[in-house]
Amino acid sequence: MYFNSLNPELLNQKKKTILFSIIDDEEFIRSIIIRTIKMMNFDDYKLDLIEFESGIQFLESRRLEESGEHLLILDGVMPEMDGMEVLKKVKSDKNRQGIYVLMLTGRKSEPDIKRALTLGADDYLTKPFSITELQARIQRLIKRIK
Amino acid sequence: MPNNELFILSVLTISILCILINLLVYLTIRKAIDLKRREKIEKYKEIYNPLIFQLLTEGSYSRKLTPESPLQQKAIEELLSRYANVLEGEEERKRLTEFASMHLTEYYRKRLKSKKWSTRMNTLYHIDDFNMISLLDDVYGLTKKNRLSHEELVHILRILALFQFQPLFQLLTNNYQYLSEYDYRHILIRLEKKQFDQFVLHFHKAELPLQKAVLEVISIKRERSYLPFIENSILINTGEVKLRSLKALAEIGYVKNINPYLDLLYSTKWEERMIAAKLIGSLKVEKAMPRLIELLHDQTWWVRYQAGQSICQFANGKDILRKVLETSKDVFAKDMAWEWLHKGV
Repeated sequence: MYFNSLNPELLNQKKKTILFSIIDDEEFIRSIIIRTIKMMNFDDYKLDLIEFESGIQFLESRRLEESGEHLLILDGVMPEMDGMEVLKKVKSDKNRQGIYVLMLTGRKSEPDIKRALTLGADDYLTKPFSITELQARIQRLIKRIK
Repeated sequence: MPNNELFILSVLTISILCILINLLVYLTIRKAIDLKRREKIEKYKEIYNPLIFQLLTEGSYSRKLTPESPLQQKAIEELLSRYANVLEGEEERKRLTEFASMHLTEYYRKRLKSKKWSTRMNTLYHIDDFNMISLLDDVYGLTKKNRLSHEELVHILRILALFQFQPLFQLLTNNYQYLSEYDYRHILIRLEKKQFDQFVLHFHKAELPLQKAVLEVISIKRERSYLPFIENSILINTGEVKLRSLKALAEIGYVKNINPYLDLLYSTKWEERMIAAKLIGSLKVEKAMPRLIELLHDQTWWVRYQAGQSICQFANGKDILRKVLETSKDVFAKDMAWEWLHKGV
């Protein structure tokens, strides 16, 4: 019984899944974020990582209907539907728990930051950014999931 | 005779057709070469991108990352440029600079000597982006060239400022006294305190554009250690320099004694009333509130606007604006109060 509980497969099944969604219209930025996340250590979690090139693509994918804890890394400035609109839609259902949003955007003005946080963003990081800082902020959000 | 004309016309048509066909062939070949070149660069970028990411984030250097051909150098340059725009971590920037200095120094050294202005300018931008201090002497050497465009010169001086180049002070105060405030500001903003102090000490001997730039930089950096200098400048200067000094003081947002500045709220110059209102807002001086409310009724829009903004900065600012909106008979004051109440600040 003791050995069974250390079986890696069984352990893996017990792990919580974090559904990472990277939403950014710039492929280069998405690739940096994905590489950054892959470099991190998520021993206690299973990772499910998908990238989206627009807010519309993300919302149409019905990604949020998948069960698990969601962590969105969301760009603020995107064509068609900008990050603030996506954030508003994502956070509109007050009863929906377990969606964490980290805004990663070029919008640096105080009113923009205030608006994003009021709309329910869990953290806000401006571009250009530091990889170390991005990792630290993701870790902080994951601690909240615990 | 008609036959002769017809012949000339035919020859002319055929000649033009030949020229056009040659041009088409030339452009097609050139486009094909460019496409091939771009394709190769993109392929190199695909290979180098993960390696560069690894280098920048972990510091692990791959042997595959040794660009030899100009196309490989171009691919590296494009990738580094993108990373330089996106990443700002100290360690990442340091590794980027080291890598660029190791592999692109000679490439850029040659390009700085190019006869094409665009090549030299692009190279300067990359040296700046990658912080390549290894090329300091080459960049400084360009200032001795006779033919130098204004944009090129300003960019060279900005790079020298980025590298905290010691003789920059002499260059700006002796050789390049004709630059605009805008140019000076973009150069001085990059200086560290020790270098910038030279310009503060030289302030009273400097030309007006340099003086204004020094005050603007202090405003932007909100450096409190220049407070005595700024307060002295307000006392001894008039006009534009006095206004800029007041603006710097408002940006710093601190004075030991506010009383000398309260009189400026009653100045006959609207610019001084405006800046004084800004200062009162930054410092939240309660006793000046009655005068701020009066300035909401000022004849100049800018003063009313600043008074509204300053009132908003007080904890009870919105209540005061609401009261003005309800009780004032001045439509301009009511308009301004309404504007600041609905700005969402």
